[in-house]
Amino acid sequence: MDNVVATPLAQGNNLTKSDIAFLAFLAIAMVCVGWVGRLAYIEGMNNEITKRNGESWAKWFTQAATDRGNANFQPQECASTTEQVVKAVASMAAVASASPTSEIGAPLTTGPAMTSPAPPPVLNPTPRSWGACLKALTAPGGAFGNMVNPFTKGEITMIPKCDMQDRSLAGGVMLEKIVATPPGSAIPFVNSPLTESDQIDQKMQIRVTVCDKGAYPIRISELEF
Amino acid sequence: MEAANDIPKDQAPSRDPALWQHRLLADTAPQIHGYNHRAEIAHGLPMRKWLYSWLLDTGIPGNYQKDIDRWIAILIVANLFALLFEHVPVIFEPNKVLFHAFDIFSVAIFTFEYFLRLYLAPEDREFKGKGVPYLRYVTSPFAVIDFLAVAPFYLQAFIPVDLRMLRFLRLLRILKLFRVLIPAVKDFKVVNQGRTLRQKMHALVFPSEFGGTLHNIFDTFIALWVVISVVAVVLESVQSIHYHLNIEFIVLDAVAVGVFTLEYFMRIYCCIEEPGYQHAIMGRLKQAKETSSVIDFLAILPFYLEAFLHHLFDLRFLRVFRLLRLLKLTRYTGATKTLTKVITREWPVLAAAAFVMMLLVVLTASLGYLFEHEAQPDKFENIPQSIYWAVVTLASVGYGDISPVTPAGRVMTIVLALLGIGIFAIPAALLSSAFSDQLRIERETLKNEVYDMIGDGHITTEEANIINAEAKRLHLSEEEVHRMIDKARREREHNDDAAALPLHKIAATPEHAVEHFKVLLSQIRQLALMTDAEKFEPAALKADRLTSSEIALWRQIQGKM
Repeated sequence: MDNVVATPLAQGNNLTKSDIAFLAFLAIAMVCVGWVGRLAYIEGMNNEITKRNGESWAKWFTQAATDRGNANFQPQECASTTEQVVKAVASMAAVASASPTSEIGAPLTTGPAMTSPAPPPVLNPTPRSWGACLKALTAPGGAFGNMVNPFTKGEITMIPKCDMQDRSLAGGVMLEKIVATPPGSAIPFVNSPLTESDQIDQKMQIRVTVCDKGAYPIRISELEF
Repeated sequence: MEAANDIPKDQAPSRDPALWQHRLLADTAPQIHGYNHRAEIAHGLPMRKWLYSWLLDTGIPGNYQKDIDRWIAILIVANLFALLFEHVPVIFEPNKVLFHAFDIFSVAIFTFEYFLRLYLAPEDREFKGKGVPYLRYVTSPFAVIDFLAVAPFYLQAFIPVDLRMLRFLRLLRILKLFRVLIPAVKDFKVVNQGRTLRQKMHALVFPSEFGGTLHNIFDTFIALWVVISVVAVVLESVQSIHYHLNIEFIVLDAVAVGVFTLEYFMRIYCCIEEPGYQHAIMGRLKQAKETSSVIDFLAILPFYLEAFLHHLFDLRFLRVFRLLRLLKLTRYTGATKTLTKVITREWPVLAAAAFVMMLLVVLTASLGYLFEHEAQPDKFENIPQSIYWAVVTLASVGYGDISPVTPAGRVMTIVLALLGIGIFAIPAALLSSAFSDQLRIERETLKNEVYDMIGDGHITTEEANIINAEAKRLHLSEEEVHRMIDKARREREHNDDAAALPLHKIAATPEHAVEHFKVLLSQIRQLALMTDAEKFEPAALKADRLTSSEIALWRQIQGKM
């Protein structure tokens, strides 16, 4: 390095040795910025994939909210038996009212006395739990069987909470059920993690959240399931 | 550089005030401008010439050429951003109509500019008198770029063009910036011919006589990136925006850090060309310790820390410090310097006011604790909590979360609130008056500089440039600048009348020598009238104080011979 002097000796193209050294340093610095930028970009892309994962869950929940009352809804573990019963009853009532042999005001029964062009759907009133539904969804061949956590490259994990202290939670999906509190309560609703034992037969409000690379929560959506 | 009408400094100035004023006006009128200077272009010019003079002539200060260039440049940058945002569906899809309208507006402006330049081409020095000026213009590189900037838009009306290709072609609009950039680079090269890379870098990065327009463009470029990155940081905090533009923000931050890193290292490397920083190591260390350099360093530090140490600590909080980049703009404004000067100058008084305030806060907080603690142990739990209440009351903020309930506490609150008005008004008034004082001092300094400049009877182009730059900085109108020059000139005349010129300067002009001789004669006559003539001659003859010829001359002046 030159040790004083504001006017160093110029060579052919006015480049001094220190100029060349500086240009080399500058090139290294720019490569360094590019490399760090690339790292940040990769992390950012992982966050994007995590968000897309969350959005897929939200999309499935939204879709299922309208369809899971149907008898042929798959996976059956996620179907709403309550809705299926209501729908079946409603369809039978409709059939009965449309039939010329039926009498207005006659009680609706599922017995052989009722004349019907098609047999009623087979109802399975066994209550459904979230655990079974989740298992069916994440099983190979399930809706989310192939979903990958971009941070761990492993399968997607359901987590109860995004905790910044625990970086291993990055890329996880957090599902919460939102329950309205009784009128007059200080807070209008409470949210708690959707656990495996939770019954999913009734309609419920769900919040989908994912954890980013620092295990910070990214809220995806709030929807009815 | 001196203007053609500059007068060599070694030529003795005329003492005739009228001539002096005439020369000053003749020298200064075409050169000195205020921040609001407008060109004076004759109305009688032919339409095309008149339009060219107002809109495109680069040689007429105060016309609209620079404004047009600036607005066109802003439109080009806006087009670039529009193009980038078109690739973000969440922004583009709901605002398709707006994007399209903006595109039409831009093309309309660029087309108008193209045809305007075409129409005015015969007035341009570059094409004037060269065969067919219109053809020369159309085939010139800048005109080709201008054409390419708008052609794709019209092309799609006739030929179905792929949208991606169209967007790529629209990128060509950036090339229009070369209209400003290329002349600046050419000038820079000419001025810096034969200089080393470091010296050129210094000219580019630091304000100097070698920088020219390219230095201004560099400053604008950095300032633009500062604004962009700060806006990005602010928008990142909006969850709905950050959710959709996360990747764009990451890329933008990396590019901004790249630009700022480059600038930082360039400054550190070439600072040794600055006076006072010449030593290779100590000079650079000195530069690195400068407030502006520390700010530059802090502006890029969070990016690297977060990248290298993210696995050790959660450094997300550092992102807020990217807002420090805003401080980089202080380099381009004198406001911070003025504020520092004002605070430094008024520091003793400000410190005294702060001391009184602190005293009052501690005393009233203690009294508040004394009166209210028993009544409200949860609110006036301790003296530090009472200090919060005292400051909120003293500053007339009054959140109301802590308020006194006892009669004594309320009385004290009344006193405290009333005192607060006065106590807080002191520093505010001090700063306000100090600011106007500082402005007055700086204007006085400029006036003194002008006083020195017109010492030789004229103002050179270099001096005019200094005055213009200062006038712009101090926001002086053209009228104020001329009034200042006039005042300085009158003071100069007054002082010059009172003080005698050096003899060699008088001797240089025979007319002045004659006038001076007459003044001397009259002074001798005055001396003769005032002294005792009876005693003068004996005293002169005694011990041969005067020679006989001198005594004869004395008598002759008295008219005794």
